[in-house]
Amino acid sequence: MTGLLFFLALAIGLAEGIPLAKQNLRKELVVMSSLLGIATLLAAGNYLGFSSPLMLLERVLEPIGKAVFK
Amino acid sequence: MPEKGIVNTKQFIWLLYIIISSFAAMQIPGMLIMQAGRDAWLSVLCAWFLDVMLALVYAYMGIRFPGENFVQYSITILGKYLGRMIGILFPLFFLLVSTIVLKGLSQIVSTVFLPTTPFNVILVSSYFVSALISRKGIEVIARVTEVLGPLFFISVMVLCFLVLPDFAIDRLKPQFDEGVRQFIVGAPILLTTFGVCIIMAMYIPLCNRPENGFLAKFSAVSLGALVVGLLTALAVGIFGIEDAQYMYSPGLELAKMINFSNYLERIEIVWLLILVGSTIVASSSLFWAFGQGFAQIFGLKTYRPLIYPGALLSLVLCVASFPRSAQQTHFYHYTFPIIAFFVETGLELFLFGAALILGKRGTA
Repeated sequence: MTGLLFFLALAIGLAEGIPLAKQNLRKELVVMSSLLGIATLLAAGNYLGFSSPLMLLERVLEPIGKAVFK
Repeated sequence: MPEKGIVNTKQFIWLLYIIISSFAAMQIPGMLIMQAGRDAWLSVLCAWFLDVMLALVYAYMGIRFPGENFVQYSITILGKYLGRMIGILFPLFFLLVSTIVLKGLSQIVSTVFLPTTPFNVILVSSYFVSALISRKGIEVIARVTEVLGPLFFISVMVLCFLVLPDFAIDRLKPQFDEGVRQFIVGAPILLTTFGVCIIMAMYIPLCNRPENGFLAKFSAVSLGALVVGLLTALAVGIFGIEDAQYMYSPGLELAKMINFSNYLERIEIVWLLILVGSTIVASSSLFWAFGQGFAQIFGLKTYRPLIYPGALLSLVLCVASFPRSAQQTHFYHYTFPIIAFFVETGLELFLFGAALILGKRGTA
């Protein structure tokens, strides 16, 4: 799955990035690339066994949820 | 403004209804029954009332800041830097909701309907279709909901009517046998789900009659509450709380048991259509809101290039955070209501209070 995610990131980067570069929409290109970069980093982190941000959030908030809900 | 599409009030209602319907088709009725037992249908009424009250605040803010959604008016109220820091939480919240919704959809489709198909194929396909619709813009999504929304509502009503002969009202009694705490605690679970309709604040500036924002939310939540209330009451009245509380999708189980003399059977396929249709369209709305919100935070000319990267980010979060379906259900039950309550109620009331205290108003 990690390989597929990297491939998708590359494909989206090329499909969206080239038209943006041609139109000289730099800000859009930077934000789009940043989102892809974060996605790629998270995928790599997951492959290497790091916790995802949602899992970290769950560790913090779950005890509160368990205290309130059955 | 990145989005130039316009929606009318009718489309606005169905846009919101389809989001509630996507949750109703999945695990929310089961979770509610687990929490509130026989009183689950009372939790629905309680959540409906609280959500309508919350909608008043969103509708008021939509009128106070004409032509601005909550991402924009958080910048107007709190300034360039703090406003952006607060405003970015809304699109990120929509991305989180889309992650939960699409994981839930893929899980049901994989377990019940396509057990031999690899799970990742279903997941990636769902994301691709959602992102594809989202990239077409709000008008396309609105037109789709205008067709599918009433169809899904009628289908659920017919399904409920068909299972009615097996319903035993005695299974709903006695009420309050474990006190009122259960149904009061059940209400926030549903409130945070109905609360995803805060996306209304993204639609109000695009509605041809922004003053109808409250009417749209009221109508959509009332329809949604009717559907969820019926499903929970029927599931308890037919299966009993002992079985219904452990069902992943009580609505699906209800649809499975419809059988009239071997003539009308396998009706669960109708449920599959409702589930897939509403979830895909709801996710596309959420991706659209994410892209639109991000584009406004960073001052971009268009949101469209952010849709596929946003969908990929959501897919990665889904794969990394919920490798098994139990983890998604667990997260949705214990963690999501806290996050949702903070964003849907806390942040908006904070912005509302700040706007009143600082005397800020929209300029459009």
